[in-house]
Amino acid sequence: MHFVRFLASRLITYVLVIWIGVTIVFFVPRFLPSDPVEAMLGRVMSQGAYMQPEQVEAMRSTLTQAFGLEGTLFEQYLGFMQRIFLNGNFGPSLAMFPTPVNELIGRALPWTVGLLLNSTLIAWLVGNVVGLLVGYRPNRRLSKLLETIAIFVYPIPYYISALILIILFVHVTKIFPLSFNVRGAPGSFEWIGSAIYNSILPALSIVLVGFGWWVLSMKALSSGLKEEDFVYFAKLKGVSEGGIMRRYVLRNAMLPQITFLALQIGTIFNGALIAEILFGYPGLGTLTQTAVLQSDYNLLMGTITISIVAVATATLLVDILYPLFDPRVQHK
Amino acid sequence: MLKLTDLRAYYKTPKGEIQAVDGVSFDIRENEILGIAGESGCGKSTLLKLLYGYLQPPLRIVSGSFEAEMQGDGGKVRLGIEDLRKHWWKFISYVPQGSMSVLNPVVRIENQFFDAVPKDYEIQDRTIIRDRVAGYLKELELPVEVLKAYPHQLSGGMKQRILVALGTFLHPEIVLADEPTTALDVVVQKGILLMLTELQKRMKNTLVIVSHDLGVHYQVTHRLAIMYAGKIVELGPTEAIFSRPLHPYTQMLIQALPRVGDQSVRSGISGRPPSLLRPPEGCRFAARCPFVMDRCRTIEPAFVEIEPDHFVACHLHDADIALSKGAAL
Amino acid sequence: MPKSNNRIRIGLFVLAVFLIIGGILPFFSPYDPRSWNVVPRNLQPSAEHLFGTNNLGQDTFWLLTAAVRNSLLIGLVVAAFATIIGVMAGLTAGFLGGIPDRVITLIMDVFIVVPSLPILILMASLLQGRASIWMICLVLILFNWPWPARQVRSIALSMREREFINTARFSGSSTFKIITREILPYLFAWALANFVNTVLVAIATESGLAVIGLSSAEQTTLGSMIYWALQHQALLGARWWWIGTPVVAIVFLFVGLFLVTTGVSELSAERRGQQYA
Repeated sequence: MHFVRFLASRLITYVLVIWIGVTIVFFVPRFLPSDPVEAMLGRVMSQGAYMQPEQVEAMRSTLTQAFGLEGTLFEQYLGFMQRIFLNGNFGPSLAMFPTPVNELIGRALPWTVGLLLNSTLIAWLVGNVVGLLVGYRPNRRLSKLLETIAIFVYPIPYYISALILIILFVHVTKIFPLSFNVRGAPGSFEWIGSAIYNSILPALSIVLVGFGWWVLSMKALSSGLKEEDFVYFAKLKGVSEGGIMRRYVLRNAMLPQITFLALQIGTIFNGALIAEILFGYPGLGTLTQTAVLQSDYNLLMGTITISIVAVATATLLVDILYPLFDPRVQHK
Repeated sequence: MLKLTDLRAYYKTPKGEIQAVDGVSFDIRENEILGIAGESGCGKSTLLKLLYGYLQPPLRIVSGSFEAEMQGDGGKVRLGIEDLRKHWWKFISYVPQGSMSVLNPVVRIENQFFDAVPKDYEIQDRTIIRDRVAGYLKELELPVEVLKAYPHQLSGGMKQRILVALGTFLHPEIVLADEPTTALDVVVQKGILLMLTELQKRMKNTLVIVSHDLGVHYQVTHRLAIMYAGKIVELGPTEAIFSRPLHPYTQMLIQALPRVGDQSVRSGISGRPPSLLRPPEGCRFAARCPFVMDRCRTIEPAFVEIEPDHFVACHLHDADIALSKGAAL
Repeated sequence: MPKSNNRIRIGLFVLAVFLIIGGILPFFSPYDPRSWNVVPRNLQPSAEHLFGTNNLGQDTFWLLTAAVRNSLLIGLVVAAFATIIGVMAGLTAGFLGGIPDRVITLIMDVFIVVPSLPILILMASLLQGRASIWMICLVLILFNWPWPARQVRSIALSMREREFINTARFSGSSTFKIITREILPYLFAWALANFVNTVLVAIATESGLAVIGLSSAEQTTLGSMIYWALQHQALLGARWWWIGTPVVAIVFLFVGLFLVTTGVSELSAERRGQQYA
């Protein structure tokens, strides 16, 4: 019963967070001294041929409608919410007219999710294992070395590690390609292999930095935990060292680590966004950049909103993981 | 079964050596309940660790001997202190204080039992072990559902009972209990003591109880050792110690016990035990002893048998020693 | 025990270096960081130009000092406000409990979960490069106050329950004494560690924004140095000094900040452990 209450409160928070977040996204452009319609008009006119005034007017009203900027603020808000949550529709993209924004996002999102999921997982696994060992035997030279590496790596933002990797592996030693270039028909082995090959550097930039986080936090946890009474008793029972590390230290350290992960998702996403842009990786990041560069209002609103929903959802999922590891929440 | 002769074990710290157990000699026999009493800091926890064979740096044995005798397959087996580790839980087990959180909070109780089964035990199959444990719990009148529960769901008293069950389910020859009644309310205390004594009677093994509570020792132990500042100052049958306490410290401890019907004001013992880092010369109780004599401050009293099986280390009884020596001559 | 002292020492040393670079040196700069072509282009490092010059005709070294100064300013301003707001919010939520706590916690959750960068990108792109540095700072403050607030709130919650508050109360100390003697030192260490950490996050986020070209065009920051270098093909042209300088500077700055943060929290943990040992 405890668990149901926990789940319910998390879900409510989730819904509220998304709602407030999307509301913020809605209000930001309306509070800024900017007019996306004029901006778009300006671009079109500077790029193309001369347009008759009536054409300009017609375009202005089309744009206003397409951007959802008609009517009072309240009407716009309702329309916005309705479009997103009931219809799941962000309207057509202007940069790639008439492709709907949804389709573009649909193409980009799996790349981002794939990248983040895999690299976070790898960083988590490797980092936690290393952190456990380092915390358990802090005085070995290898432990100290790993800890120093982690300290150096931990505070580096993702895009910096991305840049460093790019400098080292794309330019100095030309191991990896300059831009993201996947060959072969989608779904074929060649395609998969090429996709993985191109993703190695972006993933590595995330793994390297994430590794630092997990190593350091796990180290702190495990060195604290090994002083606990139940570890002492386990030793008295004759439990092997490996057993103690796995069943006593690791299992108990998982709890705060999961909490930590949930808190970090926003930051991980931030960094991944920029890293994607730097690598030209075909995910949400590059799509957002396109939207920015092309003043594609709908696409921009779409990518930003989806970003918020994605991060909120990921956080919710990780939050739900917690009771699976902590029996104190499950059973009363 | 266990015999300690002039055992000294010290902790090596940056400040020096803490002489926690300093020249302790006694034996532990079959089918008895032995109590070890003393204030906190007197070294009884360290002594218990030694009896268990739990030697972790910075604790080390400086001198003295430790012999153990175990019932092996083909007869009695001699063991040194390092060998005890191999026979943990089957030969000798440890019941810790329930007030500490000694149970892994994220794991079910049954797993805490599985953990304790030694790697070389004949049975490794978990289902069989679980059935055995369940049967054993039933014998102890503990609810079997406890096995599937988590530690935070148990009350303090239940936890202590589980720890007792945990320490005895493999029927070891020696059970060491560290403050089994501390931090429990009186009713539960009685239950735990009853449980321990019943088990001992049934299994006919040896139970060593460490407690600062003399009342506990009075109720259940057959023999009692009084520890002070790293040394045993008195040792003997419980009945003898309570009716004829030989050491001033023992006398004061007994006097401090409340007695039904006795309205007189109880007095505590003033002063504090000496530091184990740099123990004083001579008798360590000299500073607090109401009967202190000059020689107490310079010469350490010997641990001598005054009555049959009743030992004491106190200069007050030097005359008796001389007498008995004289009588022997 | 010496370990955390070492960390703090090294961290503070690194930070001191950066404070000199960013706080003092810019006043001596012979060049305006915003002007181009004030020196010959693409020179290698020399005595006159310590880190060489870039493709835009700027001296890399003096550019760095300006960038460090601006980045540090942003970091400090954001951290100061975010910490103050955060501590106040956390204390309020923790001590008052009930509905104010729920409301504040919800707002905190919103700003923790919602990633700051997309909102910043949204804002910056709509303003088309006219985003002022103060707006960016404002948004950063908005997204960063929950972190100190969270910790302070949980400290406040546990302080309410903690036994030693009760014993202090029972022993007759006034509430004020309780607060100053027991809570404040604990709080102070956390606030300090959080403050330095927020500086790190603020500079990191703003630099991230700048690297993709969306930060304020007026000031040079470490991130915008990188942006301009990338825009002018520093990578392809192998102009390592131009792109390398800000990258290396960021790495060292952040490591320094991080060392101080963890050093402070480790030190306070040790002190507390010793106190109650």
